[in-house]
Amino acid sequence: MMKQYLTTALIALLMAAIVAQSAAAQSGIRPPQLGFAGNADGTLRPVYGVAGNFILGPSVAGQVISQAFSGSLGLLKTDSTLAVFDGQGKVLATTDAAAGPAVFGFSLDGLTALAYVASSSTLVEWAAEEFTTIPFRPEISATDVVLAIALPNTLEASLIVQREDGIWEVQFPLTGARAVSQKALVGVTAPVLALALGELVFSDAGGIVLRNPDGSEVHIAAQLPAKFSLQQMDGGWVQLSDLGAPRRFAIRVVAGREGFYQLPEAGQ
Amino acid sequence: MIARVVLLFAWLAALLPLSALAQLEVYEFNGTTDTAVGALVNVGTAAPGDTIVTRFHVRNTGSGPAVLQTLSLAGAGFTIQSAPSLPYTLAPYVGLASEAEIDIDFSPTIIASYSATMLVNTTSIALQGTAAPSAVVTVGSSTTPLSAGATVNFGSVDVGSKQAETFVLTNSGTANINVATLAVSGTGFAGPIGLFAPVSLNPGQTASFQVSFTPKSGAAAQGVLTVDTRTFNLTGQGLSALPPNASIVFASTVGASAQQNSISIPLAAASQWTGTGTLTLAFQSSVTGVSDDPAIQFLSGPLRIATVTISPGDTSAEIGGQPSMAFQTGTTAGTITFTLALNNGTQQATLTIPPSQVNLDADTFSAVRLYGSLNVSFGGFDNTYSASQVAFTFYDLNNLPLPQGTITVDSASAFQQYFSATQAGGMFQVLAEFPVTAGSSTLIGSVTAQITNSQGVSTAQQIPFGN
Repeated sequence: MMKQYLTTALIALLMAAIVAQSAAAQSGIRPPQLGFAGNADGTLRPVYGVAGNFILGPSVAGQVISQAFSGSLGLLKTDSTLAVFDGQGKVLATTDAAAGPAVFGFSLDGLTALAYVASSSTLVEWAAEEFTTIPFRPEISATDVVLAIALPNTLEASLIVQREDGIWEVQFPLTGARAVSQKALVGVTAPVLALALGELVFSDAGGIVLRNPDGSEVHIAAQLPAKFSLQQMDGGWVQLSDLGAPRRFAIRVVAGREGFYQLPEAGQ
Repeated sequence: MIARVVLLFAWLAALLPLSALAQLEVYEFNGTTDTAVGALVNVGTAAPGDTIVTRFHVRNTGSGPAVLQTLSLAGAGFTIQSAPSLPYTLAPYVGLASEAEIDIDFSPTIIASYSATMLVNTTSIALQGTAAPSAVVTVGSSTTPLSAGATVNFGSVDVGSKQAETFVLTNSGTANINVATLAVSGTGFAGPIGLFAPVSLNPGQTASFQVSFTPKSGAAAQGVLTVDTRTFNLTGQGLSALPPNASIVFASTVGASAQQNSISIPLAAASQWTGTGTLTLAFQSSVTGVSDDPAIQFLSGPLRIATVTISPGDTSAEIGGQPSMAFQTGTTAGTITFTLALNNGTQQATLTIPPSQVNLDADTFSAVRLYGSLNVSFGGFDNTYSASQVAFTFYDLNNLPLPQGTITVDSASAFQQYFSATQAGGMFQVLAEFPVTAGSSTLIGSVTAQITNSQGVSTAQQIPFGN
């Protein structure tokens, strides 16, 4: 009873302060942002909107060949540079990188990121506001194709690799030691994207498949392009890029609100 | 003794092939009629390099099944083009389906008389053909001779228009050639133009003429060019002057904001017309003071206009090169009008987007405890642009509303200011910052936000606070 009284008294003081300030608080109205999308013209643009209604903002970067955005932090790759950017599209830091595309993964809080550059088999971490090249010798061969990367915790990374006998997840410590585990991802097809919560996004004949860490799956009906790639667009959104046309799509991966949408084309 | 004779007869009958118990007869088939053949068949006269195809039908005129076991052809200039795989069992003849077809090519290489023997089981048929000097026929700029039976396609031609092809006769031999017959038949085809039979050609000499195609209707047309004993097929596609009736069909007829929909244009009949038109999108806002919503657009190609293409045989038009065109309905109440313009007129279809309560998007909800403040954020769209009152109700960690009750804020002017400046239609994201000057924000567990517009009140239910 005493505890209840104390709680109520404290909150009463707090609320009095809120009332006095609440009118000023309403001035913060802006368009809702759904992350960043890479476009066929090589630009990176913010996406504004809600499910079913999208607007592309002005370009914040050009000559982008790979990109991903966690909801608070983004990575992009040009032919020679790896860059990190914030939610406003402002570049925070850059580092030199080998040519070619990269795959990206984010920590659950979206503040730590990994980039894997295939052409140099380089793993780069963004943490504590700096880039660090991670020495690693995962048990992948020269013929393995790295499809995706994930950061399941602060100590380990996972590579999703395509091998002759299927797609495998190779988990290894960021300390540079050898792989600690490997497992076949039965039923998973390329392209595939690994999200921070451990979900895998890939496709089947009917459209998009979201496979949860417990193995359960959600299927999103969609007519997919013949050849496409997947990139994280925001915390709850994945971009699907048609590799044969300028079309870009957005997949909503939030549990219970999954959906498949088409984004406007840049430069329309 | 009698018993032995009967047994011997039965034994011999068992050894005899089925064909010996039935009757195979061979017919020459001209495409419409079968004519029984005798011991000799003259397949006709061809020019060296040409091919005459002679079609034979084999029937079983007996009462039991018969087996075609032997088929051979011996002699220069003749080849079997197609025949059934042997042995081939023929049922007693009852019609086309119960007979076998054998096609023989006569392809002379030099001027001469040719003969061959075709053996059908035990029936021997002599085949004869003649290669006579004849003019080489070419068409257009091609120097490749046309073989007898070849097809010349005049392409797709509008009804009333004329497409002409030039044919050239060449005497490539060493003796004079006389072309006695030069004729064109078939609806829509006319000729020869500029040359009339008989035509005498000296060695090396050429003569040209034209054949025209003037379609009478939007349909496929066929004709025949005859040069002496050889015939050449003529084909063309008439194109109607008008496209078939087209309609505008939405994938979903439900009019609502923030929807992605698609449009297709089925045709009332397979098109005999080729051409292009346009499909345009226009938006009339029903919100006072709001003239447009730029998010209402096609999702491929130009924002609000698409090229519509119809080709012969199409049963639906292509829009921007696709079978259908996706578009989004924006976040402003009003009417979206699609106008299809083809050369036989225009038609329109509309989608009405009714005004609705504020639609809140759960993806945008967040409530965060920061040092010295609480931040509450929610977003969605208001397709009436009339959002006015925002109310917050805070709950403690036991999900009990705080005793202060609901905090109501008149935000009408803030929303009007925002909507008048934004290019995002009716979409918005509110960030409400509540400074904490006293007490502990950790005692607050969740917040409910309500927003009112001209259509009613919408609620973002109990957004939990995170750190």
